[in-house]
Amino acid sequence: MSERCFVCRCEDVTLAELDHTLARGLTTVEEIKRYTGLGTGPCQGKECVGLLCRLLIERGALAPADAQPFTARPPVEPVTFGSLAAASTEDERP
Amino acid sequence: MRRAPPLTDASRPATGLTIDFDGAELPAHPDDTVASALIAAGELMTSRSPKYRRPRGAYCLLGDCGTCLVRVDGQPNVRACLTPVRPGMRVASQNSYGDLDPSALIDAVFRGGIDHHHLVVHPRIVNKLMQDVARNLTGFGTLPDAAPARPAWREDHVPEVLVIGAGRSGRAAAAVLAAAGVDHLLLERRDRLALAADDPTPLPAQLRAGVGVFAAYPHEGLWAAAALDRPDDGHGSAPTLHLVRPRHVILALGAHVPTIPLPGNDLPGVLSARGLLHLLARTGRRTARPIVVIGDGPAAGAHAQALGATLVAPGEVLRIAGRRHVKAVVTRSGRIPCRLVALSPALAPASELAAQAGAALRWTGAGFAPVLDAEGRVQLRAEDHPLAGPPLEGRIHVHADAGTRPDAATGTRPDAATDARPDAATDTRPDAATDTRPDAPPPPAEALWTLWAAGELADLGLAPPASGRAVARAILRALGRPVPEDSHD
Repeated sequence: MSERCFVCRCEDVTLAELDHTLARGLTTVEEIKRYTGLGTGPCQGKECVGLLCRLLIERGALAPADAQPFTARPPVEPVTFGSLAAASTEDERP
Repeated sequence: MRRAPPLTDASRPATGLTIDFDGAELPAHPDDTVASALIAAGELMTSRSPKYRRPRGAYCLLGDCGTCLVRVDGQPNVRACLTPVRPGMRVASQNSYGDLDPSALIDAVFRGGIDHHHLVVHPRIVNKLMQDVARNLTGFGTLPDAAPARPAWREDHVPEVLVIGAGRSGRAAAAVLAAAGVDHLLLERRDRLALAADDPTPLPAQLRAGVGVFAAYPHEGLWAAAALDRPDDGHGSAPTLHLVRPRHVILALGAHVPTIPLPGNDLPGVLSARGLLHLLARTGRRTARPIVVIGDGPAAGAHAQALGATLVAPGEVLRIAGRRHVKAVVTRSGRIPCRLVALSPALAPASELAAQAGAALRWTGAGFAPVLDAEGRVQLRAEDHPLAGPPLEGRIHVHADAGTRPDAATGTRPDAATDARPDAATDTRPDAATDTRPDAPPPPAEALWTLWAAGELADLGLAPPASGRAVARAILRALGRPVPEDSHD
């Protein structure tokens, strides 16, 4: 198995793929997320978005003062459809 | 063929408790999580990754990273690290193809990596087939064995203060609130055993453990949480959805452990040092095989010492070696054989819920933290401030909901004068719910809560427990309550 260095393990985004994406001119956090899928897996960026920004800053593609994560949307935790469905009921636990 | 396990529990008698993992019976202790039982037995791989089909296992061991997802008793995508073992539990790896290892084939075909945006785009018909294949490859297991016996339960809460996170700061804040008689609720996704191992002081009375807050809806004044485990409590084995409408929220969520970009950093057996230490404290297990700590975070030295491990700086590491799990760390000065690698980078504050709630975020060097005032009050992003921007459809319903708050009718909100926002309680006009004319002026929105941060999420210049107490005391001041002296300081 070839060795790979992962930036985002959820979506299998490697450091080489990040550099490939930057070389294509996609350099913002939102563009990189959309192109590679980085941050869209089960952890929703908890493990990778900070690392991505660090790598972009190291590569001169991002100023620290401008660093922002991609938009945070629910859910931040895995949740089942069954749990969400309870929001529309009045079914309180006895 | 199984190798010697990386963890030992030689100091404790066997209990006879076993769990089933992919058909094999593994010994476990009653205080194990699924992840700790698997790691102790040397079962480090729990799935294959979506694109390259790489072997994957638990990493952070703290509920964040999402690669310890397993199937438990017919329920897919359960986090092994947060799930306590039960006798006879059936655990299955997901997306793992048994012993078949397709990664060599995939690596042979895609030598430069898979660039899925330019892969089989033309002709269209082949692209459509490829999309179907790709969807099957994404690897979130298969549907549950059966539909749940009944829908989830719902619990509504209207506490004065919601504290999210029962680490040291959250518990310290809850203790101050409890002593002052302030109505509060403390939610924490870890179970009681994990919390007890973390901090031996008695658990707070208002704690709901095993409940993960998954969303903030600032325009609706609502926080949503779900119970993670589904123990049968006599009302049917169904989860519970918690809907919380607090006046003040303390975020005491701690921090995540990012990965470190090194070749082989995804191998099963690469764990977060912080999570591994929590696991050992919880289970009483000890490390039985050589461990290497890789890190340059502020705690790396202490982590290596606590684990009895060799400490290596990330810049010294050429690669983490192994095929299905870690075998060695290859450094500039040689090869260090090991069974586990523990990463100890600078931590990234758990800022996601703060961001959902509209917090302004600043870069910390490793992640993001909410911008606070001197007391710990979270500053909102200008464009997301509930007083800015167009109205949301849901906001109209919010007014009706907000009117059901016990304190909304009286409009007594001692802190309203200090935060200069329109008083939420006095503006719950009953006619807002009916005024749906398209040309009607948007109803004035209001911040329905005040948001605070403590612990690793905050930059108050205080150690975690002290920052929790400081923020709780600031809330007492905001509520116009007497503020006791802090006997700890």
